Amino acid sequence: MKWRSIPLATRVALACIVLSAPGVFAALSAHAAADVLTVVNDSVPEESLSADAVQEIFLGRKTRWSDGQKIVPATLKQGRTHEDFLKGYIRKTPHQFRDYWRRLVFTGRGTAPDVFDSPEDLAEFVKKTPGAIGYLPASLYQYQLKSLAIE
Amino acid sequence: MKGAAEKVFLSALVVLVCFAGNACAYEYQGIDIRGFISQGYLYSTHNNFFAETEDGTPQFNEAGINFSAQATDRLRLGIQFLARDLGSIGNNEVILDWAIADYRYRDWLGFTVGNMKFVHGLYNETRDLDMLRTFIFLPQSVYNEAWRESISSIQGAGIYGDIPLSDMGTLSYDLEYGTVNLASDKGAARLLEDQWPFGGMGLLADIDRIDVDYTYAASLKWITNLEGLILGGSTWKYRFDSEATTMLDTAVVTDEVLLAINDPALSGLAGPLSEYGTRITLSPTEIGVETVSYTASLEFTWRNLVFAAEYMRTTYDIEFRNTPLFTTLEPVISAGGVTVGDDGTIEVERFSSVGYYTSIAYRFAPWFELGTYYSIYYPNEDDKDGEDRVARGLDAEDYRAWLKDIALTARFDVNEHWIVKLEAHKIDGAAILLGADNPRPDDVGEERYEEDWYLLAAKVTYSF
Repeated sequence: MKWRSIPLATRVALACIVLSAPGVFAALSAHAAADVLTVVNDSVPEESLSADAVQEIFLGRKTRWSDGQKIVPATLKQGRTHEDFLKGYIRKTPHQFRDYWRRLVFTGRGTAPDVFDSPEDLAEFVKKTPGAIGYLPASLYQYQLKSLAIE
Repeated sequence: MKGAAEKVFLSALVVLVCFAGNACAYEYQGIDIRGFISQGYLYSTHNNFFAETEDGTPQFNEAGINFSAQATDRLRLGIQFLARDLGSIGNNEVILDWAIADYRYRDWLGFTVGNMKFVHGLYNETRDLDMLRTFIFLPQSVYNEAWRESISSIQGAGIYGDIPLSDMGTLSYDLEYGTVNLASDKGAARLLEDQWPFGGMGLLADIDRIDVDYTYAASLKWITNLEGLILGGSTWKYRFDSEATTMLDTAVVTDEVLLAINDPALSGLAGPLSEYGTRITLSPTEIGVETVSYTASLEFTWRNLVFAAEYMRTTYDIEFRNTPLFTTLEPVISAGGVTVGDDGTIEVERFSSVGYYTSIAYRFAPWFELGTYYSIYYPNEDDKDGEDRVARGLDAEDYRAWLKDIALTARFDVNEHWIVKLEAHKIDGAAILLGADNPRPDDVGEERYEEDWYLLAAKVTYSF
């Protein structure tokens, strides 16, 4: 079927759906990320980050804090918090995120973030590792670690 | 020595596979160790696809192991060994796939030295890594198996970086310069021998040695702010000289030909004269090749859907140099419509290949993904119907001038480490197939290649 043979109204509707899809996805993603707390080690000077910066950090494209300190990202292996964080900020599914890092590691282009089985292990790592950043369920860790406001 | 290296490589891999369990990777004193091993099976209804696929073959596997460590805050070191087999390519010889020292000065500027993965298109760097893609074979229009080893890695130095563009996304760039070790009996050399169009000039080549003068590769990727959309462009250039035994077939025996082949300078080089003419062996002949390639890429990821499209154009400049003999043989060569330059060189008319594809893959469940692509390749964009190819006697079949491939793949992720893939290709045309894999049939009149054929592939991969 040729595009021109489709009625004009249908073509407009299809175009609107395609063009609006990323925006709808972003809105849904932001909602999902609201239940996730982004936490950092006390040595990190930042008090807030843009959502884009969070994405750049966890994809290995931003590697330094504003004071020059090396960023040490930490991730969960699986679970709801992990999925919500990836969906909300990284815009990838767990499978896509894992393969993204495998691609870098197996081609000599990067070192994958440390992966933790439980939020407790990740929290402990962030607490004791200078420059570390991770994410945790908001309800459990609100006041235990330094958290960043995501703009 | 080579056998010992292979034993050590395979033993280390087997031990790590056995003990890896559910671990994502090994870590030993700050050194990350990762690896993969895959085994496949190929079958084609007609035509041998880089192996004896018409009979079905398990000569289709890859294995790799890499070690990497963060030496200092900004310096990273890494090395990967790889062994692969696809028919006569690879033969499971362990090679140094990449070995790099990477100094990341800033996010927007990093330096790499060593043996780096070659940047080309969206997926060239990961084409050995079966677990990172949906398909078993990447589209041959842009990721030709015959070129695979030639553009696998580059030995030299490079710079790279990620430049934030504020609301416009991020620009990632890579520039690499160096050289490549090419074997005289593989990939590019085999293409040079039986795919490129000087056969139509009565010239045949048997490559004895290849030296790459230089090569460079550059890639630019714009990771746009439209989530999931990546636009890219990449280019690479090769300049290599090869030493070959060249055979000049002359079917038309004119007085000039007789005079030339009786020239004392050609004593012992000309074969017996028959009703089909004669074959003159010219050795050594130097063949200079300059190749430039451009690729435009688009990838769009939306949730579990990945759409990709790429277009690639490669231009070839080829020159034969055997100055004294070419000058002596000028009457013979010119009888075939080929001009010998004043400096005694023969320039093959510049030609370009083009290839493009679109692919789409959708992950229906964490364990199941389906993908399909349509890929078209023309080895000579000025001869898409193959008429010129046949007229010049380069091939008997005009469908050697194209390869149109529809592929369908099912990928099953058994768990985080094990992957099973099944893939079917419906192919029209026989471009990129190598003559060495598809010998001339004994029966006169029987066609060497088939136009319409199917290729089936299955592959199991373990990675950690």
